[in-house]
Amino acid sequence: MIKHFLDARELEHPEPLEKAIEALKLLDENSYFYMLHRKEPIPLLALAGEHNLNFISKQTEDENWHILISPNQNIKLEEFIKE
Amino acid sequence: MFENSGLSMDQAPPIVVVLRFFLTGTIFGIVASVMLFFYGETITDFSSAQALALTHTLTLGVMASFMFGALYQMLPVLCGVAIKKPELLALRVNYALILGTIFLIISFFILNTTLYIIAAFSLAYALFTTAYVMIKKLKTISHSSSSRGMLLSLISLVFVAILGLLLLSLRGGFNINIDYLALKSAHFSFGLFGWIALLIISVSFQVIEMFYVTPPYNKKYAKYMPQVIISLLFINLIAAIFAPFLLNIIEYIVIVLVALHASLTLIKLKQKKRAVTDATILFWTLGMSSYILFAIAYTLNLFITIPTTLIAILFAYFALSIVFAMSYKIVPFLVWFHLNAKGYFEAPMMHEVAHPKYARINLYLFIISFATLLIANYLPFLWQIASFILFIAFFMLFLMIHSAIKKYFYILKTGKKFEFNIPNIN
Repeated sequence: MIKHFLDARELEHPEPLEKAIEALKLLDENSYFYMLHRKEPIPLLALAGEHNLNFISKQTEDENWHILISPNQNIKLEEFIKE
Repeated sequence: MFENSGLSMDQAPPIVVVLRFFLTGTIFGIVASVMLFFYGETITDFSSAQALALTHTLTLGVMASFMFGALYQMLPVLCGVAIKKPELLALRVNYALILGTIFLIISFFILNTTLYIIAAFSLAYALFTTAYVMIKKLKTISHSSSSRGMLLSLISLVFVAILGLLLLSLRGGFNINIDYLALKSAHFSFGLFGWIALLIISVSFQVIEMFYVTPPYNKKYAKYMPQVIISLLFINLIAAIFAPFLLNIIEYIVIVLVALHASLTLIKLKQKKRAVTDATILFWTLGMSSYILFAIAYTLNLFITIPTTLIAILFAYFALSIVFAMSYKIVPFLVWFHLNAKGYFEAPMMHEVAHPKYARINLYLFIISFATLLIANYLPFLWQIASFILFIAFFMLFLMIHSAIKKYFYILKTGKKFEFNIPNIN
């Protein structure tokens, strides 16, 4: 699987969302988008849900949020999360 | 955590729900500037009909409109709660708030029981309905500091409304055995510090860090500060009935606590990681600085005479600065985001909805109106000049929101949609 990675932890609103949407446009069944963020980006997740994308958001102990999105419904995104 | 959980754009309210409240707020801001132009120095008498009319145009017409719009937008985004099908509810609340505010303003000049009753019912509907729907939703979630603060702020709104309706009943000629001045003082405290300041504090916990990449507020501080403020306001309410001599002391502690938060926010903004400073950061800085000046002027007033209008202007610019800051941040974002979510290629970027230079000019005019209004307390011929500059500042904000709405509907009508590269699973 090809990973499109974005570290958005030091980006000002709304750059994370702008860059994430650009990245989502590039996705196909063999790729996924992986974003690291300091907050849970509910608008992005709502947009992913609206477009029937496979997505997950999870906060790790270091308080970072890991957001993974893919059009491929058959992959378990949680397996790609890196602590 | 979300995992394919049925989260969708239904979570967020339609863009018109938020922008209609914002547009209403700017129109009342324009009306307030016109009132100030014609009333001039008469507003310095705080018990005058002119001062009461202007105060309620600002607190209900401007502030409540913007705060309701912002809450409709932020509850889903910051707290993860959605108000189902909010269009009709928001429209009714919007109309009731407009009607109630207009009738209340007229009733300050024309003593007529019917006017009071219409104002009371309209405002009661707008304020209680909003508070009820939002409190009910907020009670069901696991709280962050922001959402807990918003809940407490909405509870304050209920008390502001109850106390305001009691005052309105007394003015309307109904005979209720309550001390009018104590009631007025409690209404004032819950309105300014429980509803307005507490909501701004709660929002700042989330947006200062999120928008400007600053270090977060201390978690325990953010958890307990709103609870301490609301507890003090309730003690103040009890004191208003049983120990009126305590009123000023408790209120003063609340004022100092909010000033501490304003100082802390300024420190956070100084610590932001990126060097770029846009107009919205400067609006936040102005708002927090204005509050600190308000607290200083309030304190000095204990020893020397400071014009009450000057102190009120400092508080008003604290709240209005945040209104301008949030409008310039939220409105362009909503237009861009909602169009993108619907799949429109030609969605204007945020700087195309509100150009940074336009926002800067609006900021400078706003600052000039602020300075001129403060000086007008000592040079009364400046009231008209100051109100004219404030008029332009609000009109610029109105134009920005109006043009954003036009751009949104233009793209909806003429734009081409893109599709994500996703197989349709439905």
